[in-house]
Amino acid sequence: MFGWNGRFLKIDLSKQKTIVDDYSLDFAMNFMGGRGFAVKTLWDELEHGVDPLSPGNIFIAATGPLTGLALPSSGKTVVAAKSPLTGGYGDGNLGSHAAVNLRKAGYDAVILKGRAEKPSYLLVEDERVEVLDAGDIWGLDSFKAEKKLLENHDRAAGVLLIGPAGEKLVRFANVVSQEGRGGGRPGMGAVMGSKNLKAMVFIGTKDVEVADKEALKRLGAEAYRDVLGKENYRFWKRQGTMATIEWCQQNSTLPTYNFREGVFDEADAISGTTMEKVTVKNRGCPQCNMTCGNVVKDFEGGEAELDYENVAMLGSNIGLGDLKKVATLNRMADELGLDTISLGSVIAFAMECSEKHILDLDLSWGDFEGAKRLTEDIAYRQGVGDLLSNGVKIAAEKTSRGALQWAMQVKGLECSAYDCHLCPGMALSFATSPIGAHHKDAWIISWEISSGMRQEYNEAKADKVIEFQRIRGGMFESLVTCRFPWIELGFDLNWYPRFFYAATGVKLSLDEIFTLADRLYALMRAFWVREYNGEWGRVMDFPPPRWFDEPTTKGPLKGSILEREKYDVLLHVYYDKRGWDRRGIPTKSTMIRLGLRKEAEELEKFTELAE
Amino acid sequence: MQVRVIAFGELTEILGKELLVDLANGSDLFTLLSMLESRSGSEEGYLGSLRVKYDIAILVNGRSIHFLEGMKTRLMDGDTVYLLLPFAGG
Repeated sequence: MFGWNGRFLKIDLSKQKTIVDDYSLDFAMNFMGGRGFAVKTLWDELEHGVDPLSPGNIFIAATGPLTGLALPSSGKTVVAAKSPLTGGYGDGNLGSHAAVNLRKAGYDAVILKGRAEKPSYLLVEDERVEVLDAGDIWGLDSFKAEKKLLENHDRAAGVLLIGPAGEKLVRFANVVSQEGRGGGRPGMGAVMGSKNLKAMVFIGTKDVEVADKEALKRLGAEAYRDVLGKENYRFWKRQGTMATIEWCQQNSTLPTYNFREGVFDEADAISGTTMEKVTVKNRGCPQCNMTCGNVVKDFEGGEAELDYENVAMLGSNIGLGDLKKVATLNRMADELGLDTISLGSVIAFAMECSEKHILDLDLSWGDFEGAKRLTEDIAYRQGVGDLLSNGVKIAAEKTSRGALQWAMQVKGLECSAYDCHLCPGMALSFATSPIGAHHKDAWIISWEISSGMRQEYNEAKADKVIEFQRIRGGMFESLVTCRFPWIELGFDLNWYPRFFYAATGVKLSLDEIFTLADRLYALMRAFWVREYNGEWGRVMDFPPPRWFDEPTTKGPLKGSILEREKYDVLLHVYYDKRGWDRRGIPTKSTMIRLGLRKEAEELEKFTELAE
Repeated sequence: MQVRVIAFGELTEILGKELLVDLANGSDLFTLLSMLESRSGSEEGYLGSLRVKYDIAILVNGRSIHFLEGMKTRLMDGDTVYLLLPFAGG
């Protein structure tokens, strides 16, 4: 095999056993890598109904055939497991030297089962694989722990690790790297923590074998030059994703006061234009020449890497209109190993509960000191932090059922930073994202708003969601390279089949890649249905009630609201196009068409499948 | 009359972030943009390398011109015209 290493590193932490497992080209062609490898492994090897925080869960870090090669923004890895936040399929993606080193060590994925007896970390140095004592670093924040590991091993190593929040099993603890990269929103960090695993250190010295070394070198060089020459490259380097703050504010879609509103009076104070006056550094993932990490000095003089999602969720969404203070919360989240999106949502939820006197918290909107205290309490599960560490859905259920009205989540995962009062397409995107509400898969809001038909619930919206799910959630999450060159700068998608051919020697068209993506989506959906014991219905694919029940009251689009009947029709259209039934479950013929016959037969043990 | 123009993204490189533009009373958006084009030395229908009709999303007082009269939207003294690019974030 070329491109793919063809090898998984499988470690049983309970039995202290390591094996290197080869996989076939046939397997690779069906599941590609990254998310594909992850969902297929979880389907095949995870015992149904397992507690996600028990030794029975499986943690996977998976790359794809293009990861780590000299191609634009290829230094990324998927991290996946059954989610302790949602109980369904969970994954995330982060850029790290770990992704490159994992591939150069000769593996495409690490698959971890069981639980280590005591706090440990994994060291992978080419063929040498050891589980070592983490006594020295357990309890340290992620910045300090990573520094120590790099000092002890190799400054050029790649590290994936957790902070104290992962150790404490906070349900939205994530996996972090390089003091600002993070991924695995639905508690992938908690799964590592539940395995007593603080970190994974990768050192790889070999070159990945590719089909046509010279062609790949030429293509890569051409591609990097192409990225640099893009029209908005210069502006991108100035603000990165932070340009979105102004864009969302102007389009009344900036999440404000727990998604009550789409406009924030102090949006300018947290905008990209404000940020670029105080940016001190720019950094990002390996193999990337359009790095998106803009670093500022925060309120306490620390360094915080900012991007749109972090700033909107920990800024406008909690009513905090001060960039340096928002940056402090951001940095704290990175050090503690907490997903910033869910953290922002949970803090806003707490502020709203306090305002409504449902929780006795004395926490007002924009209360920076209160938000800081709450962040620590959540990470260490102290006081009300323990309740909130469960995420907004479980916290609402434990508080009062009425509180679910302002728990901004789908399937238990908190919505990311786009208010959808007047964006039914983006609402559909959140509702049908395969890990719960997240924009990564089908971020269609820009298209939706500039189409001039944002208020429509038409077929074009369902088509667009599926198109973007195929590209973003399918292709990029299984080749495993970053989608930013394409979505942010307009880098042509047709490069990717050319990269793929030079790397693997296999000709694959974009359409074939999209069919592969459909397979992954059907399997991720099947996984959810199985873990939910077949108790599944279209209500699982509905956006949060606030957008249907509580119109906005501010801005040029005040009074905006989503309509349930129209949304239901749109959802039905989406299901039809995907070949899923009225409940949102793939039909048997769809699964067979996608090469998932065995999986369909397994799923039938849990629920009847439509023909 | 005077209108405020706020630019976004790459447009700030040719227009700056914010500018005040004097126009004859009753001027429409088309007139304003023609002025900006000539001021910036761009070709007709372009601001820099961006095609005005396709690449730029225009909001008047926060409302998209799709909901107004498009390029024929009449401006009033004190209006804010926002020049946005379709893509951001994600």
